Amino acid sequence: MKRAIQLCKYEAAVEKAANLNQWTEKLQTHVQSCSSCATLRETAHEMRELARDSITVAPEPDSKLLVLQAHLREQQEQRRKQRMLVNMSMAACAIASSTGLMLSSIYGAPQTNAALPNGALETLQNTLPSSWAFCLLLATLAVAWIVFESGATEQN
Amino acid sequence: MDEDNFTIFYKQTFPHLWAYVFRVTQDRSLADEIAQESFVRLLQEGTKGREFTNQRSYVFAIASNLMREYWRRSMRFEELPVEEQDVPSVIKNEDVDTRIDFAESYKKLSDMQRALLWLAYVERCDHSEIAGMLNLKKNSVRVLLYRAREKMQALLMRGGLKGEAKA
Repeated sequence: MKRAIQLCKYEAAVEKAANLNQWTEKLQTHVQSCSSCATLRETAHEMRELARDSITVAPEPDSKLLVLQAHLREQQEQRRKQRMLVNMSMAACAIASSTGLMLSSIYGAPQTNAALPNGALETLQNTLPSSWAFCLLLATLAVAWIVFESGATEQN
Repeated sequence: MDEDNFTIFYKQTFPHLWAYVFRVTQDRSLADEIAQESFVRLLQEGTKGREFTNQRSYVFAIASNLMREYWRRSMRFEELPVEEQDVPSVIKNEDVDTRIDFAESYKKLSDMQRALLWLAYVERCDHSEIAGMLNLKKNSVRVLLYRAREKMQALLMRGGLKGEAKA
């Protein structure tokens, strides 16, 4: 069953007075006649007593260790970001070279007779299958390495 | 924050933060872990060039988030619906004298209630700060605090009555 709660209109003022320990006569008189505000004052007082006991038994680890830990984490974070950048660059290279090779294998070498010196186009066309295979191998290795690195980064 | 400033701030704040976490979680080793982690995270934020107007509040907010994370992981987080909480019957002012052991009664409150009472009356945070730290609505804080106080008083009364019966 839900119960309606009745919050006292002086509650905020009593809370402030209890926290600052600055009581006006009016508030003190009110607290004597209001059970809700009396509870508030009592709880605030007891909580501070409880805190006093707890604070005295708190340990005090060396702050330098925490500073060191924070530096190490910062370095790890930077390394992770750098690795991600390298991975992205590798992926871009792999995609670009694979796409280029795929297009050249479909459409053949571009018409660049005018720009190439004599015999260069013939050489290029002759060596294209082996260059293509080599580049494809490189691209496959790059993709495999990216996948492996991404897995390692996630594990870290 | 440079290292010297951090050391000063750390020496002033660590015992208070540790006491807060310890009293709320009731676990000494967890309090060590969370209090230290909070300061490490504060330092990390500092190195990102951000400035916080109130570092003390900020480090308490980090600790509160870490505790919530811990409660969620251990599946014992007690979300307190504003309208459905065990509220004791009205307590008369003179009954407060029957209090036996505040610390023992405090342990019997929910995690959230312990955190609320600590932040409100030990750290003297205002309701909007508490709402931010505990991920609550600002308007709910007042009601939840009221319920926490009333529950505390009921527990104290029960303790007092038990004590009298034993005597």
